[in-house]
Amino acid sequence: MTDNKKQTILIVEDELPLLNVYADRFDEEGFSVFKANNGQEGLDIAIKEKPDLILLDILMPVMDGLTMMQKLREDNTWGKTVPIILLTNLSADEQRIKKIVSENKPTYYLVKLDWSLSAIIEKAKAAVLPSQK
Amino acid sequence: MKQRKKTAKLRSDTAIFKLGVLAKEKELVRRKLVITATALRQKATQLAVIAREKEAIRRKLVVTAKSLATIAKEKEIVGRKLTLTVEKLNLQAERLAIVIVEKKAILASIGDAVMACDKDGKVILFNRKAVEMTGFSAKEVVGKHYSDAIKFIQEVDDKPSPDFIAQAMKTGQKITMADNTLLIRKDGVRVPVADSAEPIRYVHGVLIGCVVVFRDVTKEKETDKAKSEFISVASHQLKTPATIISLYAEMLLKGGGIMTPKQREYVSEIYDANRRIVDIINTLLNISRIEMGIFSMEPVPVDIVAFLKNGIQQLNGGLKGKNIALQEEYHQLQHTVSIDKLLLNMVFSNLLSNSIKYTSSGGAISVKSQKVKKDEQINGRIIKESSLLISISDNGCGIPLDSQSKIFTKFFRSDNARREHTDGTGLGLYIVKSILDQIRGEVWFWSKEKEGTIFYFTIPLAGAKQKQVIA
Ligand SMILES: Nc1ncnc2c1ncn2[C@@H]1O[C@H](COP(=O)(O)OP(=O)(O)OP(=O)(O)O)[C@@H](O)[C@H]1O
Ligand SMILES: [Mg+2]
Repeated sequence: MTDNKKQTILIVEDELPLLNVYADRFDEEGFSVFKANNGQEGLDIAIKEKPDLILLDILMPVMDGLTMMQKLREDNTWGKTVPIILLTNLSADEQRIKKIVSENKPTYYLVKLDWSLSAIIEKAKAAVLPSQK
Repeated sequence: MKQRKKTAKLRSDTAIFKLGVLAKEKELVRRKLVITATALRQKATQLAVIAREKEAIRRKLVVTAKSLATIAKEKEIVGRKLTLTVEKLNLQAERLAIVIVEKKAILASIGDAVMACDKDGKVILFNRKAVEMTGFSAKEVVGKHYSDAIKFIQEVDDKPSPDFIAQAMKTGQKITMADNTLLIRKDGVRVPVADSAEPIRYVHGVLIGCVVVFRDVTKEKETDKAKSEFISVASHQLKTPATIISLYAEMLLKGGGIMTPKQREYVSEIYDANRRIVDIINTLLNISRIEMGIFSMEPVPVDIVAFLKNGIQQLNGGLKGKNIALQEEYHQLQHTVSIDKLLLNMVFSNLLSNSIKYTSSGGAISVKSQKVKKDEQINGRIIKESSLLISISDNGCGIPLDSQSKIFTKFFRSDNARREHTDGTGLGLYIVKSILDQIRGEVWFWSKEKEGTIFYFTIPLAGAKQKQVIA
């Protein structure tokens, strides 16, 4: 770990219990955590704080995760390359999500229900690894 | 004198002669008389006989006259009876006519389309509903072979449906049409139908024809869809709370010494039970996706042998845990078929996990693959098209005979299974069947209670069609 320079993560999730448990867990893992309740909030914080990684829910009020990701990828050089992990409930839409994921690298996706906190941490660490090098 | 004397002598001589002659004549006459008398006697006797005969005839005539009278009376009765019968016949004819009219009316107004054909498959009846549903008039159809008259196709691949009418006539049994059959109307519009064909047999089992009944199931499909949508929405709603429970339980379990061992056990139970809820939600979601046809089918080349080995590997824990001996037998080192991996995995893992679940410790399971051709027969099933046949056999608890027909029904679990394993949704085999219906595969089984079970399923070698989700 680089001295006093913590990895930063932005978690965007509208379900408070989920947001809190992710935040606590990443905090335990030594991340510095920013929290947002919807895509708009998330976009604002992202642009301001430029986190190393974004954990992004898809279905959210005000602005959904996919729109927020598109906005980030569109107009910002930093936004174009920040790793994003999409959290999705929409297993039915796998095809569509896979397509979006492949068009918006570096993006990963995890289907809620099928993972545990430890799986998310693992994925997050793998995602920020390249940017550390 | 002499002359006188002479004359006198002459005279006497003549007289004597005459007398002689006379005597002779008399004798003759007498004889004749005797004869006549005899004849007369005979005649008299004859007359008597005749008289007797006449008397007899007379008597007979009297009898005849009497019987004639009786006959006349009888005739009168018969006549009356005949009149009655004619009246009755008329009545029956009228009733028959009414029955025919009624039957025609019933056939015409019946909610289902009815088509009847003779033993050669020629259409002899096509009711009003059939006309309405198909767009063909009875005139256009009657007299034609049914296969030229109306067309049924499978929704999955637009191919002609299996000829269930021929099958019914061949087997002599009522045959129900496969699920997801479409009828092509005269105007080309496709209508989802459900139908059946029932052969009609005469007294000694002689086939005389077949009655085909079909109905429009658009409404039913819509209701089914609404149900599936409801399940889908409900399951989605359950996902978030289930996820929250799962993640918080994980937080507690991870955090080393915070809890007493008992508390850790309690939380662990919560975590496990929630895992089951999550599994059920996933299963319900999969079902609603399959039923609504909104899952995507992305066929990719899959080496089936490697796939099976990998599937077994995934369930290795269960096999080892119950000390089950597993035998594998593949027809080739590898065999690549184009198929959706996710769906195939659902099929195989459901079947194999059932085998593991319903086989007791120390049992044996075998997984086999083989190539099968069209019309080949495998354990009572005729193969429809060239396919790979995968079989999974076990020597577990088996399926009781009275449960065998219900095994693919949603939520069905047999009593012996329920006794041994209280958990289980009864949705596994339903999913297996639904998926195989979509990829033109088939599934069937052989089983005997307390002996074991063999499940078979096929993967068509022709490969599956791509299917995209309409988002
Ligand atoms: N290999 C087998 N041996 C004996 N019975 C079986 C076997 N496979 C299936 N069955 C019977 O078929 C029923 C339905 O199976 P299905 O997989 O649909 O549900 P389940 O196994 O009971 O529940 P779940 O799949 O949710 O665990 C089972 O309850 C059992 O009675
Ligand atoms: Mg099962």
